[in-house]
Amino acid sequence: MTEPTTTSESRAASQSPPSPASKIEHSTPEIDRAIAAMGGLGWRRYKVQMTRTVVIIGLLLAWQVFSGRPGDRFVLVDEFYVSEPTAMVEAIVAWWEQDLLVSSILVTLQVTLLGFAVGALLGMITGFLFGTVEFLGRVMSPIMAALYAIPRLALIPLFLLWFGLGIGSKLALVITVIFFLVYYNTHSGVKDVDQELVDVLKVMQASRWDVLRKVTIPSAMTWIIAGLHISVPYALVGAVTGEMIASNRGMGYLIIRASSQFNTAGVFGGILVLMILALGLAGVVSLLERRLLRWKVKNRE
Amino acid sequence: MSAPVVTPPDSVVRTGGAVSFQGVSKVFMDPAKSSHFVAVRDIDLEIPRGRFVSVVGPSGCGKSTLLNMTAGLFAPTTGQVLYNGTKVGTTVNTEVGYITQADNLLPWRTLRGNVLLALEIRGVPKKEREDRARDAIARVGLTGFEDRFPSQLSGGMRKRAGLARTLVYEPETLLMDEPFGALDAMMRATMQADLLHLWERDQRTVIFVTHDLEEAILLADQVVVFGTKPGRIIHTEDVEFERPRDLHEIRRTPEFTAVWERLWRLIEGEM
Repeated sequence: MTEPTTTSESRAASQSPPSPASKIEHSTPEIDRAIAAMGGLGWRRYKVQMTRTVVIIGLLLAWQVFSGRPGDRFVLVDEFYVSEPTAMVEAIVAWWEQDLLVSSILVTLQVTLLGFAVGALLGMITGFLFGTVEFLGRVMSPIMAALYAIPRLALIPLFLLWFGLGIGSKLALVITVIFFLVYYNTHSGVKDVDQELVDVLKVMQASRWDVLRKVTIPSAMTWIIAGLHISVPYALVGAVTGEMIASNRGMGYLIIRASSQFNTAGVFGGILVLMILALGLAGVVSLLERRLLRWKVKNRE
Repeated sequence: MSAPVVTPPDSVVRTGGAVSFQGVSKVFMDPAKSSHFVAVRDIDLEIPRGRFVSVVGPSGCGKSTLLNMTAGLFAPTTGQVLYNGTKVGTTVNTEVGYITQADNLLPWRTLRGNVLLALEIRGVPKKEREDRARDAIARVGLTGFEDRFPSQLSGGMRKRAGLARTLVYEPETLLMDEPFGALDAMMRATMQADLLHLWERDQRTVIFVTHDLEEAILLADQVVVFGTKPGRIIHTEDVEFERPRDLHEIRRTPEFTAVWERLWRLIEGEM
């Protein structure tokens, strides 16, 4: 009745001593030798990482060498326009020394995370509501589409008027950006739930709440996580845009100030800091994904 | 029309549910095209307790509609469906277990989690839940695979998992909609034998929808032949082979061939 598990038998049958380099099951001496000849199982990954490092260092070196003062040796592009890696780092260090770096990062992060959390939560709730209550969904869907069509940046003047120059207007911007992204993903996720699964549960005596908890939410989770994933960078974009337009704090402000002083290195430095922030946030979402979608991760293995 | 006598292994004697279709028709409306479509028409069928009934017919003849109405997932347009004498259709019939061609396992739950599902919903205490799940998994021969996710099981194992997931809450009646349709021939033969074996132990009522005539005859006490456009019953045939059945032997008897030939001509005329 059960499918046989052959692992232990075939292991015993193959006469080779287990090779420490290989973790392949059902291996034979020929296979082990072939793997050893390729340099072991880790070689491919190692090769990719090595090449990647070389490419990055190469690009940075080229940037450093080919930019500079016009007329100098090797210089192809004026540093006024593109700065160079060392100047970029120097600009960041300067902010650090003026106690501007950490505080600016914190301001931007605060708006990003708070706006993201509120926007995502509202988006999820609305998505579940309009997705599961058919009538509401039908009534609201064109209204949501119309609101979504508004370019969010055009709302900034209103937000400044309503919430002032402080954190409020930036939060409002981030929330409106994130809300729709998460709303649409949640809505699609709820709509994507397999009706047969729901029927099977109903026959098992499941209440609406049971269906929501045991099928709809876990099933929609794949979509929601995807929505969160794509919206993280947008939260940062929203926060920085807000700061660039009207603010005296945050990374967006630092960049716009550097730019107004023709400090290209500062602009690039600010961009570098934002890139690192974005990567860090994406990493956090990936961790969340691994936890919430453990079954999916396990299936890929 | 008495059910075949089989000694149950446990003290539990199951009677199964009785299903009665009385003048049942089902019409589906398509509001977008403002057209309608008659899925089944004038169905009169009595299924007594503990009986294994196959419903066979060309695709699109409304066989699945019959099951959905028995489960109370939708109501008939005319006539009525009675389950143990009570009308179904306005509420879901929770005395039945539904098994379809898709295994319908929740991909984010392990085998154990899937089998536990119905018991969690019904509020069975934790200890009893675990025991019953272990038991159901053992009955379909999947002990040792409890912690695997559905995608880590083979097609045949997922089918068994689906069966365990349904058997665990002991529904009186099994509604099976081409359950083995997606399996290869060898796996299907094994699953058919296993299903009969399980059925012979506790004698639930089974309504088994299939488009495989051989399967329909081999498994059932009664074969209901459906015609198409509109879906309706064109013939019912009692199958008298002794139980427990050796499916491999029955296939080679002249009686089986004779029944198969006769019913095949009926179905052929409908395609």
